[in-house]
Amino acid sequence: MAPNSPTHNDATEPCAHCGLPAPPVVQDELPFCCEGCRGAYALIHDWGLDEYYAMRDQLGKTSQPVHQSDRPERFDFPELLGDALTTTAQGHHQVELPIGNLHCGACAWLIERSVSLKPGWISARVNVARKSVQLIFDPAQTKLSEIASLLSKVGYTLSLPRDQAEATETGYQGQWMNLAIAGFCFANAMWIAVSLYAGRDGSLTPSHQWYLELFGTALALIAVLGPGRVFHRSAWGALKTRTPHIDLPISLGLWAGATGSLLSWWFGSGETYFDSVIALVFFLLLGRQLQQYGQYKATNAVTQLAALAPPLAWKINAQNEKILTRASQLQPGDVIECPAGEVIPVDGVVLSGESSIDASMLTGESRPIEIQQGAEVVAGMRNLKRPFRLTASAVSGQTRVSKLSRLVGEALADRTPMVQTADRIGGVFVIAISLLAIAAFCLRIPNGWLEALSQATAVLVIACPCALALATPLAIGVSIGRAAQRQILIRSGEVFERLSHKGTIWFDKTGTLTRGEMSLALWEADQAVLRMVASLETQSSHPVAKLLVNTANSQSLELTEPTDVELLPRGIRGIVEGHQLLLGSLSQLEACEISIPGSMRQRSVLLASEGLSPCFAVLNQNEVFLFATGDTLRPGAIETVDQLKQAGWKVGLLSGDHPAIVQSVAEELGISPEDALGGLQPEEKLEHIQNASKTSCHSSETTVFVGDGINDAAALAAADVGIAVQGAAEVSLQAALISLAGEQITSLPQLIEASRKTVSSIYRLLILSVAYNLLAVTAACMGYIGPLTAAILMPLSSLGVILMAVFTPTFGSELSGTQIQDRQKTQRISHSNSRKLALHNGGEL
Amino acid sequence: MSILYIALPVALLLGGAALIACLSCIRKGQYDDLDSPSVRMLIDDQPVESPSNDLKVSNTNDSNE
Repeated sequence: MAPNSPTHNDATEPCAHCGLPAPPVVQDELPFCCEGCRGAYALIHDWGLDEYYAMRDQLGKTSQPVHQSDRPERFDFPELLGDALTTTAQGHHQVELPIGNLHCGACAWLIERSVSLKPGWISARVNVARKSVQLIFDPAQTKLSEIASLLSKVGYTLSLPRDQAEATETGYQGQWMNLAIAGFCFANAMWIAVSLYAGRDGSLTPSHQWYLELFGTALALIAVLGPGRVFHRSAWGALKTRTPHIDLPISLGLWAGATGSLLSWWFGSGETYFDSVIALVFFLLLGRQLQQYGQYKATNAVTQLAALAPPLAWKINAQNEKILTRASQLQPGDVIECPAGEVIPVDGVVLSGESSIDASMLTGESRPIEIQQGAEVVAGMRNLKRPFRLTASAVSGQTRVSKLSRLVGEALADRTPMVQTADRIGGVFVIAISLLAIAAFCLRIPNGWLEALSQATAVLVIACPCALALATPLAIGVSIGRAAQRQILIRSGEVFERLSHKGTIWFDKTGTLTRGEMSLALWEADQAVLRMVASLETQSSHPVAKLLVNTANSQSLELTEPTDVELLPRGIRGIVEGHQLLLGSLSQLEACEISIPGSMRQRSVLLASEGLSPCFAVLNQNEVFLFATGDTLRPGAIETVDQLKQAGWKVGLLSGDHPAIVQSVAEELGISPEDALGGLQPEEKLEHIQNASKTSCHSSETTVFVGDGINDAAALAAADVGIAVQGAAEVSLQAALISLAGEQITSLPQLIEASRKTVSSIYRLLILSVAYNLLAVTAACMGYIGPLTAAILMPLSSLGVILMAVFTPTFGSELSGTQIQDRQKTQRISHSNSRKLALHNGGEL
Repeated sequence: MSILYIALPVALLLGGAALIACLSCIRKGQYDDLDSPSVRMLIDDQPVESPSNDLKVSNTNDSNE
């Protein structure tokens, strides 16, 4: 096992449920990273479903850590479910809902097995590719909310249905049907064609030939008019908008081949091309399906996440009663109570109560913000501590989050689609082969118009750039699949071509380059002090306190019970192990009249300017220790930036944080100060990226933006390539073309290298197929290529392209360090689980 | 060779029947999920137990812990 990076806690065991680092435990106990995972493991174990872990480990997957989910009651509002809810003949309710945290067959197994545990829950059917589950339950015995909370206990979150998922679904099924029809025509046309070619020596009577050609041509017409519509439609679109497209020559070739065959058959002279035409349709659809299945999976993976602002809210009415109301029915001015642990549904001003809130979905920063009466809060933030009441100032469509989402929509609509290389070539191609066909026709006119027509058709069919059109989707499809294995989800094949041009990569700071969560950045005292400090902090609910307790736990320090604990406004005081201990900020220490050495005071100011939160521990009124908490860089961030710079990219920072903090992070990462911009509003980020991509448009440079929060979403949409990192808000994931799962910004350089290789592989394939087409067309024009040769060469070229695309290594065969670590982790979990299960079973026997 | 006049349409009809079966499978959603079926077949069926029994077991376990 590779040594952990120094920023890691020294956790040695992976969590038995999710595989994240967990504090070490005594012999024969399973380690857990958090209480949520412990609960999930206990539930799964009690249900007798331990087999889930064995199956999951076999598949080399890990589970998600279990997090709290929002009001399951929302599933009991039929209005919110809409058309997704239907009633079966038996009076059961049937509903299909998106489900989060789904990975593999093991998850599906677990969910489908849970059914028997809830009376009234009839069935569950999981669709892993679509990330959804179809539930059937008896409304008389159970409620959907109860099923939802049961599932959330094991780590799967249901969310409310989407309209958009439905639309992609029908399109997806249509593609399979087209492929099936084309496959049918292809297979049957082939043996008809073989009979015809075999009978060329004269053994075939004209009537038999006529009969075979009749069926072959009929199949060709079915293929061209049925599945071939895809090409005609896009060719027509290309004609209307006057943009070059590879489908234009394809559609032309299909029409020429089909009508040519029909005419030849009708007049009983000339060649039929039905086999070539059908092979073309089938191979092209196959290649596209490969690319689209990868994109379909990536798209599903990001669209099916929990909604940001909850659709339900506790409204306080005139009688001071709490009523559960749909958030869309709220009005500005309404008073709402937000319970602890839930997401705030509206923008508003705190009316009463004090709490701390987590704005990480908005900003990527998970440092809690303290709020009190009069503070402004925004929909989408999560209330962490205590319930508070707020007066709504903006509801549903008017909230800051909704406005940002609209901004994202506009930015997405503005983005200019990329004209891929194959399409550009295709545009030139269509002109060239049309001219050639006309030339061939004119040359043969003296031999009779029928022969001239047949010659022109031959040119059109042979020149039809099958290999050319196949090259791009195949190479891209293969690369998307390989990227997905490395937990990089790519939603559009365009990104490879864009990423192969060098340019600028802009990073968001918080949550992207940094962890977005607090850790102990500075600790100079020894473990004994940490033990005492953590013991005292067990009495506090402050985030820093939790952090210290967790750190002490991870070093397996034994905490003691403090006495005489007194909570101060900005600190805590008590007696631990007979020593008086005071913890607090600088101002708290001053208030307690404790003298702090001047050098330490200066250092604390310095730490604060670096974006850290300094804090003091005072032992027996005289020994002072300084420590600091703050957001630290993700492991591998410095190396990633370094590799990107070496690869010729410019790297910059765009952040909403204070400019001084951004500068210090930039310095640590080796980013030049003028490229590190701080204090930016979401609109300013968007503007910056838009300007950058506009100027880079002319110099064919690519603007990449990597971010996570909702404040980044618009910029992600506007960038040439938007990359969202894991844990990003849903809006950001939807706006970005790529999402990196597994918190791996380290896979960025790998992705860029792979893009370069993919594009050069595409070029290689394009050059080969253009050369092939040129040769074939020339030969055909001069009458050297008979229909038999053409019929053999045609699929051979396609086959060559397929083989080359599949065997070109794009992603390095070596997995990166973190990925290997992941693998090892999985293996170790599987090992330790089986060991412990064996122990468990042995004990029972 | 006159058999061709009957054999060819019959072959196409047979193939067509398979095509229609395939299309109806696609429409019923059998091709929507290409990932989990490969794992599903490995799953053993559990012995049939009444759900109430299961719940009792889980409750006693809870109280033990």
